[in-house]
Amino acid sequence: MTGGAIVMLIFVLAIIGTTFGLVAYSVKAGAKDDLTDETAE
Amino acid sequence: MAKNEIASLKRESWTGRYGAIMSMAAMAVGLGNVWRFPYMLGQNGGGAFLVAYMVILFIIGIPLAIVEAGFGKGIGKGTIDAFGVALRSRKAGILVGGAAAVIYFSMNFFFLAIIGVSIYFMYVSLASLWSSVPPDQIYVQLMANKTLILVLFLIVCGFVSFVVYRGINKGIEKVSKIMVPGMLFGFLILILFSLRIPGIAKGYNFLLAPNWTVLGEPGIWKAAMGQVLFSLGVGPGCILVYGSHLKKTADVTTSIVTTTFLDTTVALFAGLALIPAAIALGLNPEAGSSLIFVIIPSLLSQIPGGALIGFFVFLAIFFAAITSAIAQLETPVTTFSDAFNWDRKKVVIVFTIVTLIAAIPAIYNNELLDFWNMFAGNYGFILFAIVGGILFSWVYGVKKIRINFLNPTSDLKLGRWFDYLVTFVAVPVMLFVMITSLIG
Repeated sequence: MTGGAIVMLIFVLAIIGTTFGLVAYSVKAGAKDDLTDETAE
Repeated sequence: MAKNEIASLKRESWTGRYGAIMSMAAMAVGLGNVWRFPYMLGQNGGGAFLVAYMVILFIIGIPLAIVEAGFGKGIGKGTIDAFGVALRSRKAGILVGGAAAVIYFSMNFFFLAIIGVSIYFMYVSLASLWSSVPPDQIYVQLMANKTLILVLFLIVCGFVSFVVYRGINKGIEKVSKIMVPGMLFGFLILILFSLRIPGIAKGYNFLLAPNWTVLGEPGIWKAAMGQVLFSLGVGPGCILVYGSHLKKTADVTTSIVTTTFLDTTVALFAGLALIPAAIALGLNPEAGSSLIFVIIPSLLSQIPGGALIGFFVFLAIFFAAITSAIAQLETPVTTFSDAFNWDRKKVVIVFTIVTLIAAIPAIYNNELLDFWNMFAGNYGFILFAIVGGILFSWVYGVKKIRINFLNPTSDLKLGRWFDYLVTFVAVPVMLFVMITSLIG
């Protein structure tokens, strides 16, 4: 693989990693939301 | 209690952030992620196109999707009510919002048959049909067998209607939570297996090696804009409808950012799974149905374990496509049941009957199929993307949406810069892309 392709592969992996990070954040924040909703009820 | 109060109490919301994000990602991900994005990446400067795509995603795609979903959450109803609020006229809302929902729904008239074909290719893979029939002939033979296509269409139509009939939580959300990870899993299997193909590095070079000079060409930016806008489905009301099912306390901004990243990730997984392997095996990857139904079987026939891998790949493609078809039915169902307090389940049955009446003749008549494709998939979608974009952002106003529906419940607070970005950059660029696509 060329150097440019390797750099872009790292960029692709960074996008994928960010996606999984955002999903993990949403799961964590979602649990907090549920707690807030229950308290409000 | 008044009839409309009872209806509004019955209205379902996504159970939480994760469910909302999975459902919205399922709606956004479609066949375009699989049969268009990977090809565009390879043909338009590899990694350089990806950079252009991400820039456009951040300055145009994400802001427009946030505005539409935020407006949907704020109004809490489908396109008729939302367009009516923006236009300050109930009659105009019925006319424009109703037409937007119906046009978006009519994409199912040609789309469901294509999804049926992906089911058939799961069988093709498991039976390794390519060992007895040349891969390029499998698709041709299937297209000639109209009865089989009808049966596959009926299965798909029944499944889509059943999911929407079950409702937001027990139907769409439940299915999306399975199908979005399922898509990633299906493509991941092919990515991992394809790493063993000799010469795979050549394929990765084709897909990713950046040709930075293309960033100076306007055509690349226009291609990236088109891919972002069509992939996310900004404008005609599907994001608005899915946004309308968010809880009033939901964080729209981070949910949409996550959704768009998921949409991009599925497209990248599809690209990494299909293009490098095709190049390494000397196949010429093309855009469109031939990539899926001709190139993939050719590719699978040449790799060990292709039968099982193929099943999972076509399952992933089926998931990507059917979740879009579900959104295409859900949009008018939410819209009409909200606007007229009609029973949601009865609306599903009515629209299913309409689908059967419009789509079955198209299976036997290619010209009719092309008509639905052009009418709904091209002209109708583009027209209402323009109308929706203008109404949400320019007529109703980004500032009102940001202050009232986005920032109060969001972890990520948007400043005044967001209003300028959407009003003076994102919407004009969307209009340019859509109008030139319409003319083209």
